[in-house]
Amino acid sequence: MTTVISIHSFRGGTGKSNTTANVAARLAAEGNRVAVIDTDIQSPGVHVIFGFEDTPEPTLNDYLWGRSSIAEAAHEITDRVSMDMTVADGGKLWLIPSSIKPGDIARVLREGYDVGTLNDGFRTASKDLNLDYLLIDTHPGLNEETLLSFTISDVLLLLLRPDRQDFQGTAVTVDVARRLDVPNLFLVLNKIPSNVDVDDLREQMTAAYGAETAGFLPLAEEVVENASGGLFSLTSPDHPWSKEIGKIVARIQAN
Amino acid sequence: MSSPSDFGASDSGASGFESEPMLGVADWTELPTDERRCLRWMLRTGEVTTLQTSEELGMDEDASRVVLEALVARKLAVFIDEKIVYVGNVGRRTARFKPGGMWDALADKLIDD
Repeated sequence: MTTVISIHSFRGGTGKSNTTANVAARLAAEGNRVAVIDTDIQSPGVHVIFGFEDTPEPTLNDYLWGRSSIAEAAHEITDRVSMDMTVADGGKLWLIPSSIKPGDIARVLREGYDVGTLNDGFRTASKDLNLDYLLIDTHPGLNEETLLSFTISDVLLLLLRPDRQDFQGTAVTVDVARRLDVPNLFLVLNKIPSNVDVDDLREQMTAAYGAETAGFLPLAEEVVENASGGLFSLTSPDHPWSKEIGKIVARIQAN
Repeated sequence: MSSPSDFGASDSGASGFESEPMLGVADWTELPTDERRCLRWMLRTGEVTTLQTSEELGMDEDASRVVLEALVARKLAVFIDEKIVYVGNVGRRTARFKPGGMWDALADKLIDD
């Protein structure tokens, strides 16, 4: 049975796509069959981290508009992992991208789409690709699609920065996720300044949200300089940021 | 539980959701526990039978049928025949609010380019 993981944050700019791409790549490198689906249809971006200038076609948009199957929109990109890290036997990675073309984004905003078809796509992709993990990169904030992804997810990774707006928004999201009975909810704190006591922060997070924090990603100049230009945890596996990604992966797999 | 008419009924489409008497995803938080569990499982599974539902929910078949019928009444599921229940009508994300035709003009241009 596929483990469905949603990566979400209440606000934008928390590092969802970067985290999604790196976690997915590491899961695939460990021999798992993994797909990433970019449901941030209004502002897609995870394809950039995998090294694509343009989104490979067909896209999720084509599937939602009935122009392709979900399997056709799933592009195998295991080579994007194997160029930097050995992939264990059986490991594969697919990307189901959302289109970056202005016309396609405009069409979605203008015409809408059937959210039920999106859910059918999750289910069919999991079955057709025989996935161990399906990672859903979501749009920030609470909306129809993100609530749907919460509902069907086995694991919800909630990203936030050490920022008051993020803290407040995360409290709202945790509340909604609990009402939707998400089985496993983990927080991931990103862009943590170097002068912050992580142990103290861990206690505060647990006390505030009653949820486990799976990773404490440091604010790292090297990651900023990487600028979504590749899979940082694969090219710099010994960096503290990459080691935290490894902890997140281990926590997911421990479920 | 809130009435469907309380949600997104008449906001001129500004929220981006259609106005129709059905439960949207946002309403699922208000569902009774058994119905929410059942819906969640059906979304993952697709077509299901009352027997499968009873096994998943850990209840007898009559009790699981009551849960399924409640979801059907809320338009969250549809009976195809006596045995098969199918999840339908998750909802549709509609177009965004269009101020003064500007967005239409912009979208037309982007789609045509």
